[in-house]
Amino acid sequence: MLLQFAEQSPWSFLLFMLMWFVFIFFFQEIQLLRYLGNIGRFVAHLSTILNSSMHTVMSRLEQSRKDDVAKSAIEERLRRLVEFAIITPTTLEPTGLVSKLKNIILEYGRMLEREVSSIMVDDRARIQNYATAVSVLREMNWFYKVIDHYYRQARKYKNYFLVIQLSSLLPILKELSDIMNDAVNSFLKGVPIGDSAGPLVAFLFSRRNCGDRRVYENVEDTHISECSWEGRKVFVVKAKGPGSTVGRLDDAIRFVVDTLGAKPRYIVTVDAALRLESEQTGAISEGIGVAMGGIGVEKFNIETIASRYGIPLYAFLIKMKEQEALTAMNRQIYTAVNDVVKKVESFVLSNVGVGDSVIIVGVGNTVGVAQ
Amino acid sequence: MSIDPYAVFVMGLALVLLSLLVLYSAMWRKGENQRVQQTQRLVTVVQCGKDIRIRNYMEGDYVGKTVGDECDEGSPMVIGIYRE
Repeated sequence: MLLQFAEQSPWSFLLFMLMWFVFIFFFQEIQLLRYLGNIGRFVAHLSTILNSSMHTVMSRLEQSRKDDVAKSAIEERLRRLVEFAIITPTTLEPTGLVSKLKNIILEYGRMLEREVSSIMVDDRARIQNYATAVSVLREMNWFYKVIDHYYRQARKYKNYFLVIQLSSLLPILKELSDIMNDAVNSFLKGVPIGDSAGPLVAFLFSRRNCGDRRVYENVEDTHISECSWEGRKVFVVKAKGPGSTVGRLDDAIRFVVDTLGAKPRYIVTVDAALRLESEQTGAISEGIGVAMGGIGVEKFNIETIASRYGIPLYAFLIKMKEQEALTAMNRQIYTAVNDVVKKVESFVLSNVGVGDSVIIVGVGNTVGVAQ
Repeated sequence: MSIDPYAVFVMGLALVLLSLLVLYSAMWRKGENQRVQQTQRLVTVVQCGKDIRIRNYMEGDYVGKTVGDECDEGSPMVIGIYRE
């Protein structure tokens, strides 16, 4: 065909060859511009949803503000909280790292709640929900800043490989940003989210089987109940709802074992678990160990208690996507929760003898789930 | 009448580019639609004894909340809230 061009019109041939060389030498630049355009649009989209979420949280806080708190003070405080930094302890010397991390996490939670409660009317559950929404907003802000940082660096240095990496991650980053945006709304509403599956199992188990129960309020933000069911002593542990909190489950188990002197035959944990693409939402799996996400502080402490007293650990996992874990619970997860309650009942009847005791732990955020 | 091969080449190239553009925008729209499908209707599951009914979610509902009047077996209680 090239020869045909050359025969018919040498200008066409020259034009074709010129285009060919332009593409060879400038292809990367053209690609770079296209990818940078995509990333730039995504960064602008992120900025829009961040501002929109910020506005939503602000208007909710304004609706529930104390009479003596000015609107401008809310905005100033929200911006300060969104920029708040959590400095993790150094890992140069790992001794005592878990307790240091726990100290920092607990202090962050307390500080956030204190700040939100100072501008809102006194309603603990709502304060906890709004504090979590502010925390998600903080994560969103950090997420936006990091992506914007790499976008600017890539543009500044015309770094093709940085652009390619960002561009290939765009669909995942977009999904993450949408998850955070939806999570803010779910926490503001105070409805159970996918991650509330564990506390919901604990609630339903107690409601079905523990008519007469003894409640212990000794551990902050955590509900511990003790009841007798089918001749077994059952301790049900969950975060104290319906406000958004994950409670202090490790302290609760320590309280049951050390203070109440229980010698449980099993510690059974129920939690939401991220599913793989090939798995179905609401699929249930069982296993050995502590079913618990997060940074691992509570998990470490529960494992330590269990190994010190030689208590076997059993787990039930309800599979879901990250988006489903952080947004309003869907029907498949709710159905799975009811199935897990039956499975836990059956497990206790088959593996815990009459007269023995068992601890059932509903792991997760208890937003929208009381006790 | 002879057909200019250059014109055929340019036309062919234009057609290929156009179809690629259509394919690209269709794929992009598919990705956008996946998010729109997540429209949610929240429902509240209320239990009264053995009777379980489902109603629309109302602001302030939470699992464990006692709602409405007493029923035959105690008070009706919210035992679930989920998205349909």
